[in-house]
Amino acid sequence: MATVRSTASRVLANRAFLLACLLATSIAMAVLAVLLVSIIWQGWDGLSWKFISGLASRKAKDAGIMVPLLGSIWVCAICALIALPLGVGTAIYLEEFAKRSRFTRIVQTNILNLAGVPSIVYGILGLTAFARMFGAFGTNMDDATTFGNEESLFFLRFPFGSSVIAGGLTLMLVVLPVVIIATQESLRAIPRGLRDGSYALGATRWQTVWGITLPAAIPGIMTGAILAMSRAIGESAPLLVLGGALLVYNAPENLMSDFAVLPLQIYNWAGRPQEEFHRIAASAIIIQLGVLLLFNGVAVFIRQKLQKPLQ
Amino acid sequence: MSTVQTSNDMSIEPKPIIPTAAAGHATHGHHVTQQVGQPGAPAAVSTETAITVRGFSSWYGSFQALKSLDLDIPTRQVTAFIGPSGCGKSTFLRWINRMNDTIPSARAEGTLDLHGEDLLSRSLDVVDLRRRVGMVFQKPNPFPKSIYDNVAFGPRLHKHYTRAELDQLVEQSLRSASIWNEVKDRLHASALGLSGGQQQRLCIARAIAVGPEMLLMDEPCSALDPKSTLAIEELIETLADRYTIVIVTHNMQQAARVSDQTAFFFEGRLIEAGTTESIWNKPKNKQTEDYITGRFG
Amino acid sequence: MPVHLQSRIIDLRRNLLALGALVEQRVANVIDVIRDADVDLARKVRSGDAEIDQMQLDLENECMRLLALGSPVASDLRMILTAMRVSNELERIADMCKGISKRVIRLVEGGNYRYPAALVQMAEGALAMLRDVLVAFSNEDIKLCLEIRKADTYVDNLNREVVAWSREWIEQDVEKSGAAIELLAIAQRIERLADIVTAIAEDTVFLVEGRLVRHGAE
Repeated sequence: MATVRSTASRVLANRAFLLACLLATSIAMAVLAVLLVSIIWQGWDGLSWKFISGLASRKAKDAGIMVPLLGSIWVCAICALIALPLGVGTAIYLEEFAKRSRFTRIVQTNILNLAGVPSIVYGILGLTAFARMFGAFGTNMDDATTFGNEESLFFLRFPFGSSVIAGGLTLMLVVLPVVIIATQESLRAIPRGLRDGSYALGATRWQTVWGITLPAAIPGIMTGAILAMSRAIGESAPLLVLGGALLVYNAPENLMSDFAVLPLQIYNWAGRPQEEFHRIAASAIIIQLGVLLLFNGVAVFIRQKLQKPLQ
Repeated sequence: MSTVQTSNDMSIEPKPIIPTAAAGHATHGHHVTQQVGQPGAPAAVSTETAITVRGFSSWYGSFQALKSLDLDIPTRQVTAFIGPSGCGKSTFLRWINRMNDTIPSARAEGTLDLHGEDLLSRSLDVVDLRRRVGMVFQKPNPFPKSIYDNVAFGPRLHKHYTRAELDQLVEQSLRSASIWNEVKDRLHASALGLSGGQQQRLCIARAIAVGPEMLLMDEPCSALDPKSTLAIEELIETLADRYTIVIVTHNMQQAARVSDQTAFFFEGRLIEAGTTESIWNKPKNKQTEDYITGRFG
Repeated sequence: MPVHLQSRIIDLRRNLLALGALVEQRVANVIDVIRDADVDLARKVRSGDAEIDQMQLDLENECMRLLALGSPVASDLRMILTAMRVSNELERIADMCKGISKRVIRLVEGGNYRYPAALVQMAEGALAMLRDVLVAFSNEDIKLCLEIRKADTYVDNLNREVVAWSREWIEQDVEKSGAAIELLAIAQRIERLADIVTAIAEDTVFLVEGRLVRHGAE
């Protein structure tokens, strides 16, 4: 015969579970809080306009992050300019145009896998493919094939070496799967009824994508893109492999310039024995966190404002 | 494939004449010649056939959804498809404007002609077909754009219009859909801000704007409240003068109110088709009778 | 039409046939009244009319309720419409019987009661028609309905005989003209009764086939 489960014991179990969840959350929050507080405490004093606009220096108190900051911006800009059109285009093709076949299923699975590959692998790939170009142009940087004037923006040197363009392309590899997946998700979220309505009016597939599906998916795509870029801006391992930790004293001038990025600068300073460098590393971390927060904030803002219900 | 025009056992008879003076109800504004004599006799009016169906079958993969249908759908009349859930009426509707092309496993055989033109042929311009045969869906699906852009979207797909031409077309379409007065002051507001009934009428305006000859309606009122349903039924009455309308409906009273011809589907077969009046007065087939009197389904 | 209303339609049909049986009984009684000058029976027929009126009223009300609540279509609708008409017609037949009984009583009490054989034959013919039409309704027998319409001619011919007989009676004995006219009135009622039965036959055709066959149509 079935026995009654007492209300008291069920309520007790409910409370116990609630407490366990709270405990877990608190521990996580506490760890985060400790990290943040320690960083801020260490690096707050070092923050100043001089710090942000300053150039590199051997002395900690004179050092600034303008060079790595500009380097980050260059590299991320190149990454974005290539990854976004490529990623969104691929997603549109896979989601809207390609017939479902074994081939597309394989491609889809691979993209999902690629999103989870550790970024250092992309660094090695970038090194081989972009920096050294498989040795097709020789291994000596001084003997490189060049086009154009070193002074102009569009100076090209093959192989790319450890230049901003190589950095940008390498980051593109990291970010591309994320952009594709985010765009695909946004496209899938569009209710089928909208596409049906468009087809029923005599629209071709392209007219439907361009006129209905894509505009409706833009908020989702933008959110995904911004989140992808905020990941890119924090990447250090692939750029390390590529050679971006070299001491660089100038901001990039053209696509072939050497570069430094903020995460690597932090790595550099934090690795030094002197205490002063640790402090400015902390200051740089605060800047880095600030930028990340800004990017995510913008993404959330866009999601709130532009994502009108599609029902 | 050849269009098989068999000697038609007239699965659908032309609409019989009821002397309007005696009956006192609208004949959908059809200009029919009055034939005084026996009520119920076939009309002396030539009714064109819009859609001819012979031996039409369709499959989803290996599942046969429709089994050898024979049907004539007359021009500028309202034809209702009725039948229990899953009987294939929506599937068949979607073949008429080839919307089933979006489903990879769907295929069909047989004859399905629109004014003699084979709708199943590979060389058919499907995009143009869908301009000529419009569709309104069960759940109103306005685009997340302004009301103006919703109506203008269709026409812009096919032609280039000047602003003035487009303005006029949009107004005309909204008027025809009996919604102009409610939206004329907010044409550039989002269409998603309209009520369900208004959204459905907007979808009808949108379908009309491309200038179709035929409108397919897949349970257009099932997601709406009774008042909106009535408004749309009245709209269908006025639209029937200009367009051939095929409406799929679960609501039998609606089918009786709104249609001139009725076709009853069951498990993928067409059981009976005829004038709405004859089907509702005395169906020839016992299954039809049982369905409409509510004894099953 | 929901199930609980479907069973009410079945009851409606049964009640209609019950009313028909009752009216049939009245007509049979009227034959006896005419043939045997049975004044007591005539009085019973007269007083029993109220019961039939009430039954008819109940039937008609039930029909209206089912129309309003059930949204009937096809055979359900035809059954309800037919029940309304036929109940009305049966009530009128009962009225005819009441009228005939009244006149026979008057004639008998006036001491002037004479009648030709044709009159009884008319009444028997009408009764046969009524019996047939109730069977036809019950069995949904169209052929029988169409035959009943033909039987009406037989009653009409007999009516002509009664008219001729009455004319002779008046010529023979002018003072009896009042009684002769009363007799004609009785014959007229029987003839009308037969006509009403014909209408019931036509209603039955509508019930079964959904078409109207009035005014001689086939």
